[in-house]
Amino acid sequence: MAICKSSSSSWNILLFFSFLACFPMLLNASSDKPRELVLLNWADYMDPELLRAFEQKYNAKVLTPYYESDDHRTEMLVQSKGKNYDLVIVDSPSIYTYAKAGWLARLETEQIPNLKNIGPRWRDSNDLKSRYSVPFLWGTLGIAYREDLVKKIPSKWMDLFRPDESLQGKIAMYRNTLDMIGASLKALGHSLNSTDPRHLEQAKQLILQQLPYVRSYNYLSLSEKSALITGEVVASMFYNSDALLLQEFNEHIKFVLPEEGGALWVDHLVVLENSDNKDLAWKFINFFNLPKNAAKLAEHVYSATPNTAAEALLSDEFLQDTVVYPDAKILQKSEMNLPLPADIIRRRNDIITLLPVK
Amino acid sequence: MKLSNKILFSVLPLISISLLVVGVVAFWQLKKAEEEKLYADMDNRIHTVDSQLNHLIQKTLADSELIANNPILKEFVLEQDEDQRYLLWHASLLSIFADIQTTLPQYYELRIIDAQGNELVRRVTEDNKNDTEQEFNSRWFQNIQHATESQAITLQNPDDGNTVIYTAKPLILRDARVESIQTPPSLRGYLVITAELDEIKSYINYSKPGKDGFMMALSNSGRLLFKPEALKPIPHIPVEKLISKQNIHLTIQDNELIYMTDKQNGHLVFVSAIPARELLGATTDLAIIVLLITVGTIITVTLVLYSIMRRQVLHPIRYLSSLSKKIGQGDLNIQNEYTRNDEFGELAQSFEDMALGLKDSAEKIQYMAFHDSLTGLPNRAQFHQDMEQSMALANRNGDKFALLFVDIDDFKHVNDARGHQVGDQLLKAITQRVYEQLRESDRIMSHTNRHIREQDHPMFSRIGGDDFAVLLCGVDDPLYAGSVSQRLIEVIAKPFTIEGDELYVGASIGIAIFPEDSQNPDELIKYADIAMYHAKSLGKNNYQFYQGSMNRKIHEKLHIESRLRLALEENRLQLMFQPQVNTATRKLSGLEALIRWNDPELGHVSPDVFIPIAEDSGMILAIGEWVIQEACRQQAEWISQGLEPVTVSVNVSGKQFDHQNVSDILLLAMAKNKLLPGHLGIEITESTAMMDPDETALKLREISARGIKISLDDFGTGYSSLSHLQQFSIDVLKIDRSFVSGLTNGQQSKDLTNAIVVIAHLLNMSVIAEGVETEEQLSILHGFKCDDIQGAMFSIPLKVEDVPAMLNKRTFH
Repeated sequence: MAICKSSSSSWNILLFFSFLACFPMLLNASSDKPRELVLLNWADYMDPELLRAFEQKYNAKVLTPYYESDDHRTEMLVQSKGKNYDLVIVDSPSIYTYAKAGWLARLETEQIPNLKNIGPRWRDSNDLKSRYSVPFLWGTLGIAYREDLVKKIPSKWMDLFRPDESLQGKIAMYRNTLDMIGASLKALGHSLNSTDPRHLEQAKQLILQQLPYVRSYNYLSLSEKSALITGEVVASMFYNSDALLLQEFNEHIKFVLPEEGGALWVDHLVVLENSDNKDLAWKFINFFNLPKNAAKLAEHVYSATPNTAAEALLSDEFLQDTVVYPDAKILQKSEMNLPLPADIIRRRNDIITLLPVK
Repeated sequence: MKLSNKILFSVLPLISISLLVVGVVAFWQLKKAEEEKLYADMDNRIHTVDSQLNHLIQKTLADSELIANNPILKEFVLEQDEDQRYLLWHASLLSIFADIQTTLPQYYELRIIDAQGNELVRRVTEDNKNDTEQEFNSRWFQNIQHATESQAITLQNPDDGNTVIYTAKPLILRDARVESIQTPPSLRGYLVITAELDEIKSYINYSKPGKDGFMMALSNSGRLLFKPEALKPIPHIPVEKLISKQNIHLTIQDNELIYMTDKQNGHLVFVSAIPARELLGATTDLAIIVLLITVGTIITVTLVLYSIMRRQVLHPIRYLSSLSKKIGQGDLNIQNEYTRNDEFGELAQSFEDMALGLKDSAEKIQYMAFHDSLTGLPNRAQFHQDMEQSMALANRNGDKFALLFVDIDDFKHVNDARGHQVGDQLLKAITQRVYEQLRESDRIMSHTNRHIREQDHPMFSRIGGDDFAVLLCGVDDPLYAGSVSQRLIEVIAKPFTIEGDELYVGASIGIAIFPEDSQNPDELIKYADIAMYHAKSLGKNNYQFYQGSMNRKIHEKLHIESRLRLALEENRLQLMFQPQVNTATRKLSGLEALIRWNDPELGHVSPDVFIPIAEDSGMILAIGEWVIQEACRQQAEWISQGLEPVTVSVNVSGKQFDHQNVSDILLLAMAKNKLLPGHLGIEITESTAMMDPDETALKLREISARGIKISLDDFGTGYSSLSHLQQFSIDVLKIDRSFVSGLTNGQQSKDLTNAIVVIAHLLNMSVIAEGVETEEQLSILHGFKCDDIQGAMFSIPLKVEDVPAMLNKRTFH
């Protein structure tokens, strides 16, 4: 188990005794035993080589528990009440919430000199979140599909929400409140961040209508056994980066940013207020914002980096990949998720809770 | 109408009425029980569903306690920032709720409502409309508001119209982050669980009180909440009465239905209903069953009663009636088979006694009809009958019987002189003596004749005033009848002592013999009567035979007997001697002495006639002794004349062996005449010897030991065995003349004769053949090596004076 701290009292007692037992060793722990750093991350969203480099450089051991969706991550943090983790990769809107909950540590910018490498458009100093987070990677949410298995190549969200016969039972959706509702709102021609209850009601109906055709609401695995590789699923709501990752296993897997416009996402690194390893966490952020490292990571996970200094180090091939860097026209239609009022969130949550576990 | 039917028709109504009363009572009891059963069923079902509801409520309340303890739920509630509440906690709480609902699907709605009644979170298993997020106006919320304990209420969910249980768990919490430990926890809201009543609904849907009953659940306000899906059309329900608070427990009948309810739980009004006709139907079925049982019992009881009556009353009556019929028909030999110890048994016994009495009287009458009242003897009528029977019997057996007609002499005289009283006494006394005498005679006769039969006992009757009749059966010799008569005459002639006086009477008896005199009973009586009168005419006190042929023969025999006695006294019997000749030498071998009687009155009488008479009368002894003496005297005379003697044989009768010491007589006679052994021989008949073979053998041995030659006469006519022949010390076997005369007629006689000769020689005896008359017979006998011959062939018996010449000559040709 990667989590070394527990809210459970029994765990505390157990740890207390283990600490007592290891007391003599603790005296020179800093020099011998690597420090543990817990990074709560997406699955397959890291370059292992870079991680090893970091570990070696700072005599650290990075543990990487992962979450399956933004909602899942929030649930994990809710369960731990914002503890147990040092670093968390979060989506933009969550930063406000987590910060408000008091879970996030204020950035100690002097500890992260490489912040200068991040483009100014990614860090609006007026924005609350710039105080807590460092942009990590960005990408889009669109549709991944098997060009060899679909009759008609999907080009818009509606192709998923009202699938033709060939797709029925072979599509996967992504049970993530913002993205699922967002996609449906986009499909309906509304804003991703619409707060109009009527829009949400339409979205709900669309989602419920789609329900019989959906094979799974869980984000597909990124391994060789992924349903998209086996062909059980031929089209799925998918992150562009993950689509490219699976492409390594099967070249027929393609990604399209839907005509209505997809979701633009930016992942940030945050350090939790409760972390005991904030110094190491700052070093981690700094390490990954070294242009060379940022470039290597971007290419490894097929995501665009907000590190402008790194862009120069990226290959042309990568830079010209429209999946990573979509066409500006379509990109224009795409939207970022914005923080939403509580009642809208509640409505969205209520819609998502209707979806079956499948 | 027969008695059985009468009894049946009088008893049956009683039984039927009582059974019907029992049936009706049983019906009411069973009906009550059946109704109670139905009501109990209805009641049970209400309680079952009621306790189900209670259980459900308790369970829901318990679960709400557990759920309310969830930390995320607490965080959610305590979260002051509304945005944060939804951004952070809401989704997690929803997924917790979803997990709970996966496990406990009956909690189809989980909610948190704040203290003001605003719905904060709601998770439903299905997407139901929820138009009322503001709950504070609703009545149930007003009810639960400010309550500190969990509450449950059943009502119709305003969101979907379902009847549900709401449980509201007040969430009384302290926010540890902002409030001090001293701050008392405050009401933050309510956890509201909406539980479906599917279990109740399903129970009500399937529960059937009775056969066709149904259940319902009403709200407290009387709204029909649950009913069986199949219930169509919905009957008019007397809601007002059912939900009335006055009667918690209620059973009412409305229209066609009987309702029962029990409003204990305060949540729902459960109602059991059954069609009234079901109660009636059960009752009707019951009535039919009870009626069938009653009618069946009546029929059974009737049949049983009938059969008992038949057996106990009718059968005995019939039996008694048959008994009386039998008696009426004169069959008095009834045997009472009815032995029951009841009145009928007594009656039957009386019948039997009556029949026995009747039988006695009848027998008495019968007896009186056939018996003399004075002496008790059979009367003439009876005697007549008995005689007819005796005749039939005698005819069949070839027997004879004698009828003795006894008349008392001078009885009239006694009667006249001494009165009837004395006469009757006398008759009785006579009867007594005659009876005893007859018994004595019968005893003697039975003793001597072992073949006497039951019916051969003498019959004794009084056939007239002083007339008696006696029937002597099995009388071969009429003389026996005479001797019986003689004895009767003698006993009657003895004096009778009647009333102190000695009386003398006599009797005259007439005898008639069946079948010689007559084969007709009346005639026989008449002849005996005639013979009796004849006896009376001959001077009374004697008996006379009826003058028939048998009567004459007896007279003749008696005459011969008296003449023979006279002849013996006057020495008028003579001996003749027949020579016996040796077959081979034709020389004289012996002489047989033969008796001859020539009576001056009767002329020549054959020994065949007078010897049996002499044997019967006993004179044979004297005659036999005379023959021995005379033969010995004659032999001695011839010897004294210088003649060469041959053996002279004399015939000895069986009677002599019985009554005399023949051996001594022979010895004395020989000694007296100085005869030597070989001078005298005896001849005894085979039948004489065989009368008592052992005794005879003894005596013959004695005689033989004295040198007296013994010949067995008439051999072949008796039944002697070879062993006896040896025992008898026989010297000579005399072949009977009947064999000899048969010799020339057939092979059988020849073979027999030859065999006799061979056997005799084997036994060391000589054989002599009698009655040889022809040369042919002689030659055959010679051929058989028969030793001697006697017969006309050589010489007829010779007179005494002719014997010396023959003795001199000695040879025959």
